[in-house]
Amino acid sequence: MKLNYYKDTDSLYIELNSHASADSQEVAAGLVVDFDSLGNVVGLDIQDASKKLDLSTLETNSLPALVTKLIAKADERDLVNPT
Amino acid sequence: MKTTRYFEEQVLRKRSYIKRHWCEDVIDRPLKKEIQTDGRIKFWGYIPEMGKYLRVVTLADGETILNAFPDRNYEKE
Repeated sequence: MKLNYYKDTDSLYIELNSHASADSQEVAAGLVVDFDSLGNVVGLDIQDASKKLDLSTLETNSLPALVTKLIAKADERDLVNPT
Repeated sequence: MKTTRYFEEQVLRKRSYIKRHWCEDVIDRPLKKEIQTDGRIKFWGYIPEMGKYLRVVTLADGETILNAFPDRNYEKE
């Protein structure tokens, strides 16, 4: 699972797995769910993410992940002229 | 066509069924256009290849594409 946040647009994409989206549906304002060809949810597209989620803390509990990556570097492109 | 990194790195990558030129066409010749409260702009167009209406969202400049997805709830005026 991957969480990809873009500060310049306040957009968050939560990729649940690597399967391609075959269909997408807006289920609430600013929330689009991606489905694979079998109808499984494969991703969540969240706009105005900082207004809807607490992005200041990421906590996992009993996640059976063998590998955890924390990529928290500031992208200089996100720091210039946010729109 | 101007795009955000989010659109290039997430939307087009994950939703490979959406073609870039469809988004351009929708913005160029929208069936409907609506300005959101945050200034971003929604455009709608019918895509025969999908058999669905496509919603394209741009930043407030009306040209930098942020998002695109099929809109089942689209209602013609």
